[in-house]
Amino acid sequence: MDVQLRKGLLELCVLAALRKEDSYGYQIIKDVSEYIDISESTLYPILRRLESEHKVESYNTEHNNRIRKYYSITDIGYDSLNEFKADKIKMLRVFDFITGGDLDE
Amino acid sequence: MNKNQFLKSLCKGLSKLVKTERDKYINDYDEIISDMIENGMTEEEAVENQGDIEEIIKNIIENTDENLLLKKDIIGILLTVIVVIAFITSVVCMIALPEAGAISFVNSDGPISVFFAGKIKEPFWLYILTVVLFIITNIYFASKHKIKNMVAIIILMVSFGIIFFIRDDISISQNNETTVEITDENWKEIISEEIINLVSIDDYETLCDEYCADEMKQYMTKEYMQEAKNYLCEDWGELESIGNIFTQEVVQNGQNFTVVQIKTMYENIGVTYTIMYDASRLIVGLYMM
Repeated sequence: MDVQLRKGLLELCVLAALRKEDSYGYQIIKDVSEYIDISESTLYPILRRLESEHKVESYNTEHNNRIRKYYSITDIGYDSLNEFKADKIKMLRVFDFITGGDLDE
Repeated sequence: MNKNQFLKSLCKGLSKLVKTERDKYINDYDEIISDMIENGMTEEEAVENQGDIEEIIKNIIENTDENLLLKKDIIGILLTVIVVIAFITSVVCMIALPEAGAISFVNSDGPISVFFAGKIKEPFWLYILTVVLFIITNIYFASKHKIKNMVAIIILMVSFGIIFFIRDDISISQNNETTVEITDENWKEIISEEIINLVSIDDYETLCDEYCADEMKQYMTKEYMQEAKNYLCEDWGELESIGNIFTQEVVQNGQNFTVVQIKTMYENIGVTYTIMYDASRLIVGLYMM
């Protein structure tokens, strides 16, 4: 996939991975990897950015005598996802345009 | 590479980041490597799985906001260096330079002459400049929210202030041995101290008879002296201490005089005596300030 396109989608994917429940680094990568390539070196800067944009919050818990950092989505984070959802129709039309035909082709 | 080596290299490579950000990333990788190990990988595999460490570092720095990166604060460094130089120079002046005095004396010819006996004047402009520099530097660090730097500067300022106020007491200023024209006798100290003691107990008779030159005798009366003392301060209190003596030989109207300046501490006031002796070691001038 195109690098720029990936970049734009990755943040949303990470948010989506947190939609149903809080999660942590390893788990987020597993979940998102099913849909799009993501590595640790790309995940963590994204999480930092999401935190600075207040779309995500983090807290520490104990797991097997070590610290595990959990991330949770915020209302602002939800808004981002919903905005994307609202653009879905428009987005599909753009894809259609780019691919020059039916989506099924 | 094992996990700790990896994390160490990462830490080094992220030295450009502020500590809080850097620690976040170290913890992230510590956590995920541990998670991978927990899920079946060996430590080596988990570390290798992270990929090229240089790439990781590059990616993190690229994605880190400017103000989370440590930059060399050139202006701050410059200001600090200038302030420190000014501070050290001022302190050296405060400790090493003898105090200059404005000497005035009354002689039988009438008019009061005023001249500077000390050859080296204290550079007050330097002290003022140093304080101004302190203030500017503090304002700069305040604007950059560098609290630690501000505290350091303030501590320096306070030290500066303390040294300024006690500088006379800690002064290693020249005494008889070191200034060129001063001779190595102690009559000045002994006589001057005696004079100060007499003035302190208001014994002007002895003072007059034993130490004064003829021209001075008319001034060395109880009424005149008490008026002069009261002018400075109503009740001086007990004489507490006599400080360092500063002497200078001067020539006026072809005659040799010795000027002696001594700081003293009374209960209620600090008084600097300036005594002028003629060639016969008699007082021809007495000034208190």
